Amino acid sequence: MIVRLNPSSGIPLYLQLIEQVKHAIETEAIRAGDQLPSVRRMAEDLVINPNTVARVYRELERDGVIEVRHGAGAYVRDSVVSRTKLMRKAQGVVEAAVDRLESLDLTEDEVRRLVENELALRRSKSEKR
Amino acid sequence: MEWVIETQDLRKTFGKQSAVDGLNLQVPRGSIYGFLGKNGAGKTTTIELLLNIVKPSGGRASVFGISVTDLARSTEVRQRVGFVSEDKGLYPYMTVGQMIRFTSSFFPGWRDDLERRYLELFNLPLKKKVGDLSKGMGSKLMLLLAVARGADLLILDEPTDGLDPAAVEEVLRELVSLAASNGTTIFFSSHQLPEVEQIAEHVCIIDRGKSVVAGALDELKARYQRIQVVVDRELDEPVRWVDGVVKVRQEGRMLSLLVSRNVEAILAQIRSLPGASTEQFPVSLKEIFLESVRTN
Amino acid sequence: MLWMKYWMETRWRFLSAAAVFSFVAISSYLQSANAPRPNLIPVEQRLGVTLSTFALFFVMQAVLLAGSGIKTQAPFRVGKGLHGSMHFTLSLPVSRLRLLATRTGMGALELFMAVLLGVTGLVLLLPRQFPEMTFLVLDAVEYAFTVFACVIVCFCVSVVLATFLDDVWQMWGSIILLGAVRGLAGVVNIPEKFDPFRALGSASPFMTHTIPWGAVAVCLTLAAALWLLAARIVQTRDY
Repeated sequence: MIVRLNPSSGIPLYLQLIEQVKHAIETEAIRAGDQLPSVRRMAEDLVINPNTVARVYRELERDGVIEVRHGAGAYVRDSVVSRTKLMRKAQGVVEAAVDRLESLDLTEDEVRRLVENELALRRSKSEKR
Repeated sequence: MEWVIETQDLRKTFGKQSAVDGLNLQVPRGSIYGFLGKNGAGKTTTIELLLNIVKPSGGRASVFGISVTDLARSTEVRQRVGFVSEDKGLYPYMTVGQMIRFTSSFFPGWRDDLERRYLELFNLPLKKKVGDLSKGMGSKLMLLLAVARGADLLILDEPTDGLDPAAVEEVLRELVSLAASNGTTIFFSSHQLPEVEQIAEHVCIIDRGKSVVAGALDELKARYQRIQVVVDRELDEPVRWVDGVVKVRQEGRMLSLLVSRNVEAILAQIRSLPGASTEQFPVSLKEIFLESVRTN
Repeated sequence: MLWMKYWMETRWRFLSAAAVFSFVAISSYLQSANAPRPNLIPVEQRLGVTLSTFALFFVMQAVLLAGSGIKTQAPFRVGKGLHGSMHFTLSLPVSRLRLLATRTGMGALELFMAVLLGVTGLVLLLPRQFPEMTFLVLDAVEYAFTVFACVIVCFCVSVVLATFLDDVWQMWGSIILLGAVRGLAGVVNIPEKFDPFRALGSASPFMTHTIPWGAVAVCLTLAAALWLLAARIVQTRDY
């Protein structure tokens, strides 16, 4: 897995790394079932703090992207690949929708309120049922 | 014992000059801790205080929970510490090999494997006199001597000084490896912000003998932000900002704020300005550094 | 390994001093071989002068061997890389007291060897220059002991100065200080039994056939006090 990190960016390294791992998964650079390098190995390869790597693995596991098997290493989950692809697709939908709303001259607050109201409406509908 | 290094209101004056002026530091075990500051800010003096090379004028400092002024236990502390000094001074009349033999004689826990590894990695010439080594080679040798003693804590003063970028990367990799495999705590001072950003988990920026920024690097990057504000008209009088604004720059109708905390209150204050529109950006360590230390 | 370090730093001084001794002894011998005889000045007085002069060389050796104390010094290059390597030494798990003890121990050992060498030379040279006197081996041994005991004070003076002065400055300071003491001794009345200057010159074991214990005791006590002072300074100062 080829990773490009920018330590000087304002974005914390761990966030950058999480993003890159997810990206690698959806572009199929790493596939479901593949093993990720050990924390130590990853830290040495990228020359970054091992605790940063540890944190990334923890977050990825929490997000259900990887599975840490005791004593055996970290593996990419089967289910995650399609989920990540799905999320990317959804991202595209949101982007297009927001574009259209903004072209109607709505402010950011108004857009946000519209989305929240819509979600709240659906939630209450499903609760009523 | 929680902190590997801890100082409380540490002070050191040389005559009338105050080199360290009430420094508070807390270095957790296993951390890679970056210690940053301008030249003359007090980095080297702090390190000298920690190693009992100079005596404190006031306040407290402890390493492994042992006070630096505890003379009886002072050698006990140094048994577990590896040190690289700022001027990388060793014994010019000894050869590299003699230097290694000399140093290893003091440490029963000397790691022959690390010695061999570093000799090979850094390509150190055993028969060459230390006085004839280049600065970069001297740095590498000193690093070998610090690491191979199997220390729990490494105190490094500008360890990559004089090294080319490839060698720098090698050194950083080794430090990361040590932290990962042995849980070694690494306390290093540096001018090179990119290096610090790359491997440090915690940082402290010292200015005029005091700590001006300290904490986990990720947390600092999340907390610190730049807020760019554009107002309708130029402000007649400067704004009295609430707590958390580190630096403000004003140019015409544009204001640029570096903010360390209390963002909500600051944004509220901004909204009170005439026709203010804002944009927020994350900041790099370099920006935090430049805006936090005093410029003459 | 500390002993080795200090040996490496001081060996050239030791060897060069030995060379100086040899040169002085030889030239003095050659000179005396051509001296007109008989001499009207009593032999003991002449011997006393010769010994006193020789004692100066021992003093110089003592001052030289103290060097710059525990501060690392390159054998030839003075002032290069001194500050930095001191920090390295101080970061080792060795107490400052041990550093001082080892360094001065090494210096004292070398001084002792130099004294032995010098006195051996004397024993070979003196009978030729002063044929009227009988020189016993036992006297020579006693003289060597006396010289060492008295000159160690000079060494300790240098050690104290070396705690805050560098090599060359230390030597100048020592010479000036010791010279002042010598001058003072010429003016002040020191009781015979405790006078180290007489013990090394006109009242040496070669004449008295005993060790001047009074002078030796005074010198050793002074030396110990000075060393303790140096230890205190070394332990409390900043580097």
